[in-house]
Amino acid sequence: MNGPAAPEIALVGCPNSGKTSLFNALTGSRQKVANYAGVTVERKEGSFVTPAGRPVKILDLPGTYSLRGRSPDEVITRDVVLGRLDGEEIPDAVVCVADATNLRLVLRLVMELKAVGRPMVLALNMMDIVARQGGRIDVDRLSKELGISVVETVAVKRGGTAALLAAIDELPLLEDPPTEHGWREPTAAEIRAAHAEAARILHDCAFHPGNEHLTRKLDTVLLHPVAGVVILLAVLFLMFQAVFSWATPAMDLIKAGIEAAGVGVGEILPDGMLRSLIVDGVFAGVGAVLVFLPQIVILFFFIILLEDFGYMARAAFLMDRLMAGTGLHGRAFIPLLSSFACAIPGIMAARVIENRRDRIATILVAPLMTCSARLPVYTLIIAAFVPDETILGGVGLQGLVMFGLFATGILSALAVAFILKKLVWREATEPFIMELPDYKMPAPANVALGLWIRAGAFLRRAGTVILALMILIWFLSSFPAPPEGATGPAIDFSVAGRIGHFLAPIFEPIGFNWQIVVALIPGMAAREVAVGVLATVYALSATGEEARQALQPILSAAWSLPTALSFLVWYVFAPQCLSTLAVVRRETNSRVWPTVMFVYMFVLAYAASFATYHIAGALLR
Amino acid sequence: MNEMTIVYGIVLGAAAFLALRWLPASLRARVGLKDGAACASKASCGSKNCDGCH
Repeated sequence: MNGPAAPEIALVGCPNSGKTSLFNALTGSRQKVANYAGVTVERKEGSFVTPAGRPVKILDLPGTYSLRGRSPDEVITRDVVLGRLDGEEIPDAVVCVADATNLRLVLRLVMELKAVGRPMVLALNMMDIVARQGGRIDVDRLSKELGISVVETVAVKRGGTAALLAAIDELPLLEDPPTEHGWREPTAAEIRAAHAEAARILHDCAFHPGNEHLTRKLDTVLLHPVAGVVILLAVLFLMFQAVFSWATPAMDLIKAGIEAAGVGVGEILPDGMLRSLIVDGVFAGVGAVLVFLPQIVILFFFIILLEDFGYMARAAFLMDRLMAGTGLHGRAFIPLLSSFACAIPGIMAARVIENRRDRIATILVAPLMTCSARLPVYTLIIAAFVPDETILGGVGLQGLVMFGLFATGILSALAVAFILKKLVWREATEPFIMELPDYKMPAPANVALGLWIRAGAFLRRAGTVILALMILIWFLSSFPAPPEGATGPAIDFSVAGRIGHFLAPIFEPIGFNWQIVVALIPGMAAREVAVGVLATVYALSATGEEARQALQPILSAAWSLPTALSFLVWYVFAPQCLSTLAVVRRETNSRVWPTVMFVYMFVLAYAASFATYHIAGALLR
Repeated sequence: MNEMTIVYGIVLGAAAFLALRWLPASLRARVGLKDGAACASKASCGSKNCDGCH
């Protein structure tokens, strides 16, 4: 049976307006995810049936603030809406999703979309938050002013979807076949006029008490050119102190649990290769990484809290001045901030930067920001070599060193960007405009959910990739077995041992022994695996009574302080992540940039580690 | 079962898991695995659509 053709609706809205939540609420599991042809921009299509029984296709378009198309994602949205994108149907109607708590931001987009002339509905999302904040929006009047249907929604709770579906049923779909729209970019005067009109409508239709007074008062301090920067540094400093001091009890508990489990399993299994695989490979290797879960959770607790409070946007504003001095675009702050979690989403987030050179500069420096996978490596070495003491009246020395490593990453990213933008690509950086949200109390449920997702991702990674890698490392460190009558640790005769000994001369000038070299290789797959590999390699290298101690005291005894410092510095700069290089290749659509990144980071890491090792050696002599 | 058979089975399983995980995107799509594009518009790791950048 051939029914009438299903009309297609485009879902458009500013970033973070709850567009995707609404898409999910409307379509449920009826979704198809792919990429737009030739670009790495996600295309999400779904379908649903309206109360009148009409099947409808819906396309979730990338978030945009206007139709001007300032990034690859925004260009896609504009071209789909205007019917200019090859291979895409021209949408029959548009549903614009607005963050009702920040209407000002979306009204200009609404007016631009309305000018395109397609049937349209405005979904005022997050109306529950507006109500909770004591705000009001006169929906009928707003509808009259804009000349389109306006409905209230709370997408995360699936609230208001019935009203939205009813409004869609009212739209004159499939009456006139849509055609390409001859949109042109507005002039500055037209943009100003649109802003004024948006302000008028907002004034007439919405009352939002917000906490503007409090926000203004706080901003006079938090955005102050001197005090603001000092407070930002203090916040970051406190964060790293907490990462060390708060995490210790939970880490000790996890460590004791894993050790007890390892001993228990070791006692059950008979002595042999299977026992070695479980105890030296799985428990020593994966366990060495798992103990860092509390630190990861604490780090993200601060990041999520500050983001929800509205401080991260201020941090971006404060950093913009510093970043502009190095030639980085203000929009680079979010990609660089994301890189503290992992360079990969950071590099992907660089798509918001329109200028290709600005974008590539951001991509090239993103891996210098300290990702969470480095945290286990830093923590292990700091705990083994930096005394757990306080200085300057209560400042933890270990936290201070951690802060220094993060700061070194940030400063070196800025320095590399400076060299690229000021010395290699000499061109002016475009101005950066951003909206600063009102301060608000973080919602505990939101923070808990964010932590749950982060902890889950870390545990999933430990239970999949890291576990598999540790099994392979154990195998390569245990086979082939030593010949009969051989003396010394068996690992010396294994594949991993031979590779380590073979490559060791390259890294000897920077103080690395062959065990570290073995750890560096799988560390390319996942940085934190280096910790697990060191645990396994030292467990298998050990003989007799010294076997299976905790890794930290082993390293304290086996490495000199210059080697430990050199290893830390290596991890600040080294291109220790193949996935990052693969994403750079995909995002730049070129082999040149991942090669440039690998070479400059390797040279930087080697040179910095060499200098650190020899200077530290000379000072300690 | 022989102890070494179990050990080799575990090691081969781990190797196969990693090989599948790190297949190039085009091959992943061809064998019916997600191609990593789900991460494309995500601002952070750990989303439910994430198929693991690593």
